Amino acid sequence: MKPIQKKRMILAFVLVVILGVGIEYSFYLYNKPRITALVSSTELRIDAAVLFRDYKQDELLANHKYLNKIIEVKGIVQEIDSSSGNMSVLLLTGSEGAINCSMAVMPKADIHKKEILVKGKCAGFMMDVMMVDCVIP
Amino acid sequence: MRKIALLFILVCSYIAGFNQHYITRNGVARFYSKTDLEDIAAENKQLLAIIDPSGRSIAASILMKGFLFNKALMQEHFNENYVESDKYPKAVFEGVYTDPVDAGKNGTYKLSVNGKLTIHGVTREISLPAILEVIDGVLKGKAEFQITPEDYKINIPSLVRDKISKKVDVFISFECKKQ
Repeated sequence: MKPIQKKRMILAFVLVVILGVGIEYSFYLYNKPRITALVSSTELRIDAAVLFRDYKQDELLANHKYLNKIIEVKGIVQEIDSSSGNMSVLLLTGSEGAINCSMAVMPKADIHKKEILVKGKCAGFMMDVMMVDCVIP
Repeated sequence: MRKIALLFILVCSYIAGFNQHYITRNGVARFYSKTDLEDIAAENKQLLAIIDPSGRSIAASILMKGFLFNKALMQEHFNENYVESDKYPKAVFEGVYTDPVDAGKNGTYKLSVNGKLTIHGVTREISLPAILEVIDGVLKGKAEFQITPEDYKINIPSLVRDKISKKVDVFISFECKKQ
């Protein structure tokens, strides 16, 4: 085999490898599962009452601070909602609204009326501050 | 004296009316799209729903960012490219149903609900069948309907159009308790 032919063969091989890795990586990215708060690192720690107050006072500013962020919220459990196949824990805020935590995994221990720490992603505000994909760290 | 009596009646009616509200903060909304190329499903367990049986009215609201997909990239595309949830964070429904529901008596009611659904900043009149079940003072509701993304100006690029069905199936279920 001439050196030029050998060079072309190596180049073709490298291109095929790069293309294969590219396709494989795209496939991985496309099918990458959504991750829960359990494996995400915490960006903020806050008290339930403070988080609610911030949203009640200025939703736009609070969204800027908390929306889409992985936060750990400390608060007392007001209610555990398992209606309609739900897994939600509501934390007291000292106000009419709650921190509404949609759990990825429901805690086995009895947490009713107890102070707990919930880690999850902030999804915004309606009547409550909404957190999704939550876990108890 | 007559005025005081009238005011008393009004206050009593208001309190009675107010007590008639049934609410949940954790209703469930799911949607499915099924094509030969791909099945897409998402679920949101934080539907806020309020029913007023005396006024036969129902209102519901949901955060678009609360819809969870199995695939991370799908969720990202849904929020950023399709429903633009930073710009239009909520979907809202306000409507009325036709037949009366006695919330004080156990029973199942097949209802026709008419109202306005707002998604992606676009409001449209919709009509849908729903089932409301009264069980010991709790109103359990279920509804199934279809929406067409283009009706709400949700633009889907032609490259992925075949992966998303023309009509998306939506399933709602909730349990509202007296407030």
